[in-house]
Amino acid sequence: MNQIKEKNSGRWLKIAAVGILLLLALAGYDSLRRRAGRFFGDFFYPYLSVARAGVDRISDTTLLLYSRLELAARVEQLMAANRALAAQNVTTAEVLRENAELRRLASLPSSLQWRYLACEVILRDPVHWDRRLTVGRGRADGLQPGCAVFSVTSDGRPILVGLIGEVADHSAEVVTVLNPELRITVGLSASGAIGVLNASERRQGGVGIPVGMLPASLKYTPGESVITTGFEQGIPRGIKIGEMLSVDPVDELFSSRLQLSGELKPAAQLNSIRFLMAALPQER
Amino acid sequence: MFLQKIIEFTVLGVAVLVELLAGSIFFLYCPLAVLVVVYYSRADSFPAAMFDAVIAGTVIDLVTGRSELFSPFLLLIAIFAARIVLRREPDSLLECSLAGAAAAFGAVIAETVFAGTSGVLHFIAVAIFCCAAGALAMPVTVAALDGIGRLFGTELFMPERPASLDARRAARNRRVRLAADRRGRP
Repeated sequence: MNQIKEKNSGRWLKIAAVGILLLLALAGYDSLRRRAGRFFGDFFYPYLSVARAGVDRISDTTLLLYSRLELAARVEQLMAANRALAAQNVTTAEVLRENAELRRLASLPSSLQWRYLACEVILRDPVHWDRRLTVGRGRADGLQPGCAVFSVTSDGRPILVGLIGEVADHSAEVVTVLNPELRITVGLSASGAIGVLNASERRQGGVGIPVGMLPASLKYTPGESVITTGFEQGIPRGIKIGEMLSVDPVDELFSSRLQLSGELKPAAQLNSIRFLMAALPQER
Repeated sequence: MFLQKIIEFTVLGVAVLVELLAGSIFFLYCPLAVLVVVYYSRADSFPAAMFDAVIAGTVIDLVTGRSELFSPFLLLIAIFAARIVLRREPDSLLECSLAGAAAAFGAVIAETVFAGTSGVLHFIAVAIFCCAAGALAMPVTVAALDGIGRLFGTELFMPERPASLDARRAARNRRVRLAADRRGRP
């Protein structure tokens, strides 16, 4: 009888210990995530990168399933795209040279230079798949928290995907534009307004991302491009984020609102992202 | 005991890794850790499985960088749900299937509460799919982990029982012994 009692009390003691452990994990999760999260990221990095390498290998092998004619046509297409990009590069170099000359004449400091780093997505959370992802580059490659991460469309236009969050030695977390925690300033190209992403009382749930702090004095048109402003240190200016879907209507006679909210449709195709580019600011 | 714990943590680690890889590569939410903790709630002990659930859930949330902790609760609810269905030692794989379905249903409810869902119909569809998947996956998990357990001589989810003929033979022998004892009494 006593043995059964002892066994039961030991069992309850263990359950209580697990409860305390759970409470501790719950209470300290936020700081634990900052400190230990990236450690676990580095710990699992070799396994995740090996699996990703295997998938890449299979993906590359499937290229051999194309016929020679199809492959030749694709090479031709790529060569044509390369020629167009080379021509664009010449024009951009000329604009940059002119810009540097004008800055020198006006005695302005030179603009910030950027270095770009290609990253591959190695981990995605299936529950919040569009809010966070992990890339296989980290502190060792020069990534820092706050660096802009963008994808490039087939015609060479960069699209903002998010910002680097926590960084470990060989992996880093990307907080995407769909994550309500990401707040950056955005510029509307047609109206010239400046707003703040995810800073609105509108709740996320539909296709749009809320944009707040838009000046009520300006006129907005649906479909106008939303780009980065370059106000934040790690984000280059002019990267497309998406297009405005709608802005709150204002009664010009009776409304006293100074700021409006709106919704933008993100341009990044987060469900099919595999490779990303990170922008690293260089010394002036 | 020590060997049991080593095998338990190794199996749990592999399950977490496979779950992360399945989510990352195929976008597939494959909660293998749920099946493993449900297995060890019977094969080891209920408090030990709770401990495993808290550790594995915290690691999953930390690695995926979730801003809130919910996987430990999901795993705990799953093992409680399986416990409600499977109160005694299972006799058949059908009972394992029921436990798997119950655990999956518990996990779906926990996921809906913590991560949100996009409607009742979506919830019903996910719940039906997950219960079916849990009912199919649990017997496979039990068979595989019991195989490992037999290999290393550790506790099993479904301990082997003597075959019914052997049981009847043993009962007959007992009856004969008792009768012989009675006859031998003065």
